[in-house]
Amino acid sequence: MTVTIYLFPAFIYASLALCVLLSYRGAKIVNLSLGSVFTLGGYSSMFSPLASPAVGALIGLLLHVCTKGMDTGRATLFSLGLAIAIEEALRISFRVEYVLLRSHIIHLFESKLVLEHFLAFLVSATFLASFLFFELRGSLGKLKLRVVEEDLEIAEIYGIDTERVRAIILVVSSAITCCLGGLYLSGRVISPTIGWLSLIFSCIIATIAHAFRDKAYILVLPVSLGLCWLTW
Amino acid sequence: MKGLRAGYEDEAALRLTVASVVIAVLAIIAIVVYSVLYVPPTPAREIRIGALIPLTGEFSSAGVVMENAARLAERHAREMGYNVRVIIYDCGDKPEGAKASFLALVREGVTAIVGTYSSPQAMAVADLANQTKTVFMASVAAADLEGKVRAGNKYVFRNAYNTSYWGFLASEFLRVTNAKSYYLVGYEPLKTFNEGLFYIVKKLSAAELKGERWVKSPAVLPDDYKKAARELAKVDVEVIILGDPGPGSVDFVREYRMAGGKATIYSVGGTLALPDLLRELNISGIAFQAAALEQKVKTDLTKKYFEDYRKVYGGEANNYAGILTYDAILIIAQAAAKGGDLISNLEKGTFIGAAGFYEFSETHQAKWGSDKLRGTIGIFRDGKIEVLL
Repeated sequence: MTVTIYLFPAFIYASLALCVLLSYRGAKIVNLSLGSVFTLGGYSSMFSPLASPAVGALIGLLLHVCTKGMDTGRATLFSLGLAIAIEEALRISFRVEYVLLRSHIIHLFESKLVLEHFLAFLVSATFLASFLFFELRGSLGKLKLRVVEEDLEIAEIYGIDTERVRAIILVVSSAITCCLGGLYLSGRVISPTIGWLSLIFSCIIATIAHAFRDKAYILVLPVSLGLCWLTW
Repeated sequence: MKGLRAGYEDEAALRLTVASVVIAVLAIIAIVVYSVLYVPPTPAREIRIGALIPLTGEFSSAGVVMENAARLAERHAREMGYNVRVIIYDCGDKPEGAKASFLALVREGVTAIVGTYSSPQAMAVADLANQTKTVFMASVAAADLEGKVRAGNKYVFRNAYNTSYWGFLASEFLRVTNAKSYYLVGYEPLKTFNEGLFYIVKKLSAAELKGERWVKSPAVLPDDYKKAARELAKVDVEVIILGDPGPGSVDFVREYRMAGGKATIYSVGGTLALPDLLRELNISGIAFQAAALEQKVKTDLTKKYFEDYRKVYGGEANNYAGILTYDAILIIAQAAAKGGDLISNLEKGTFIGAAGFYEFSETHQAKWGSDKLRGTIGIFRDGKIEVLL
């Protein structure tokens, strides 16, 4: 039981860290809006469980369009502004003392679990497995991503549509983050700032993984498992 | 005969003229005297009360209810005949924000300032109150403000509990429920408050202390509450005293029950003292303290506060941060309306609020635990709230 309790957060934080890493290396932005996007997922799930990924994808697209052509510093600042804007919009829209997200309890391995947390774990596991497959397979897509990460100008010389790669990264990472927020915040009392807490922990994981350079994407999960195990 | 009549008519005309002149002079004198002596009734002096409320940051959810309660207090004070205007400033969640807003309120020319949420904010603002000679009424924080008063800062008052009273209520709960054992779960960001509370509980309670566990801030370890809940579910204990008044307490309770924990959880209030939320959670065996509960009428204002809050804002009224902010504004209004020295009025007077009748001790602490002002303990069981104390 204890294993599942720390496995779930480890997979979820690993996914968030992967989104942070991808945004930084591929889209050249420290995407600080991911914390608020995570929160937004929670609020969106109040209306429909399917709303979260769609809302997240839209925010990602907005970020891409608005930061097109900006350097990393300016784009990061913009993402911070976007995060604050989302937070304030939530604060203005939900002027209530508390928002408690509904959840469902299931019995698994003779213990009780929150269904939505289990689903968040499944989404994370699928996302991480897909990316691991993408990384290990050595496809053309992986090669394109590597070139974009190394140098945008060289990537364009090679004929890679860097804007398209950037858009895909920002849209997918925001959609996944928002979806995870919608699921993992279930059963909790949420506030407009709640996503920052998860973003901070994920950034720590991403920073450690980033130190391993080419192996960063592969090592995100082990680092997350290690940190969760250490703190558990 | 003719001459006699003419003389008579002249004399009559003369008398009439003199009488007219005398009347006219008297009338002019009366008008002059009246206009000099008459002071036209002026509307009662406006009492401007500043409110420091965390509209943004970590405590912004509590800020919503504090703001609502402050607006309600303004309305009720006017109904009571006090010409009150409440000016609300955002104090955020840091002492620096509270200090900046305090100074801005002083510049607005307020009579007194109420509010702040956290203890560090209240401590920072207390020093400014002394420097600016502006009365500050702490309506939520449990920090050692009495020490400031002892050190000569006479501008600080508190209508909220001090840490001792929080501890007293928790130990009363253990006594009333005949609990044989208890466990203390503290929240690290509120360590000063929780340590003081736990110290009093250990001192006053005869029940066996099974252990103490501190939950880290979610900013450091987002899932530490889960670990604490799982650990405690394995401990055989009757009552868990939970020191976190924030949303983390909800996570703890849910996780604890999911892990099979059976103990009654006594919350210091806050999120777990909201009737609507308790009904939504529907987890039995959650006890909580409250400054007042709708089920236990203390003054004429108790019912009015809860009823009007529901009517105006459409939700259940908060029974600690909200009600005490409401009471703080009413206390200032009553004291300021007396005229003269506000501090002296506060020190000597008795003031009605929704939680009871307030009087202040020599250290400017509201006399909680007296016959006129007592906290309440409720418990959520089988879908409804019962008043225990």
